Amino acid sequence: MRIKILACLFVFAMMQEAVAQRYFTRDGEIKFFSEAPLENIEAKSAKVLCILDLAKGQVAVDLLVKSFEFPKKLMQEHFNENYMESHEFPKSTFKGSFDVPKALEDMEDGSYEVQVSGEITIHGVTKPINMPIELTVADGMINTSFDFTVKVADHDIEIPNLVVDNIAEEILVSAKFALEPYKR
Amino acid sequence: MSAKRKVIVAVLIIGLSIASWVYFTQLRTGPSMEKREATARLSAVELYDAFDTDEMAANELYLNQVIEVTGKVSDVKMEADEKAVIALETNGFGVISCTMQDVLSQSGELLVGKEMKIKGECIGLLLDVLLVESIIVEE
Repeated sequence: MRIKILACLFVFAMMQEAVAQRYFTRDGEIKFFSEAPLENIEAKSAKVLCILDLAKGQVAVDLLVKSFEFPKKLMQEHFNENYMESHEFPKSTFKGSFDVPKALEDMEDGSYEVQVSGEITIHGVTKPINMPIELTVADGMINTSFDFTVKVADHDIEIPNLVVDNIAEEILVSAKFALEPYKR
Repeated sequence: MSAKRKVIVAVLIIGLSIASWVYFTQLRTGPSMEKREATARLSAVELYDAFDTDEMAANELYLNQVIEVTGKVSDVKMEADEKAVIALETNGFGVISCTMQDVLSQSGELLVGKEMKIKGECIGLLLDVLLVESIIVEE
């Protein structure tokens, strides 16, 4: 009887170990920064969804464009109505894959640099993107922060000549995620 | 009226017209949430179910619309100098996540477990259904 109980507990423990291969956050942070002659523009969203699957070596990031907040409300309205057309393209997404080092898959504490390749969709236009990302494992969580640039023209975002000195052609994007085990 | 005066009046009228157009189309921000009318009134459970069942159909009804949602507060996030975020319970995996228009005047802990009616603009579904520029209508 004791052996049966121990066997059940062992199987249960192994199931728990197998389950924790997906990590997520619903409160990820993405900022973007536009440096231009007339003014710098900065905005932030703290409602970004990120899911990381260590078993499959996949990552997905989703955000709602209207969740970006600007210091000036007028700027936010122009961003949504004129540039991003968020009524037509409410979401921006990223899907990528990477090779998972064994130690990362086992969630050993430490930092791991992985090369992520995938696709980013902004304003309804999808482009390939590749970048190195550092994942830091500590206390059962995965933290990461990374930067990349987005060319406005690559995603059919039109900047009127009148404001071309207000908005940069390349936008610096910074992402920061604290991922916890995904429990359904 | 002399010709010169007519020209001055015409220029003033045209100038005012252009200035008004620039103001109303480029410079004026939209009305605050207090002044906006809700196009739908429903419970947090109903709203989440609508998106969970058929996101496209729910977008047709609620995306970019002002909605009044009633539900039980499951969590409140308040950080210094940041807008508060009130979460309303649903029957699904996610919540109705309401980012408030302003900083909350009371402690978030006092609100957890309370029934509340919140009005905000629905911006869509990720894991949660997100409302922005939200205000508390009723506690």
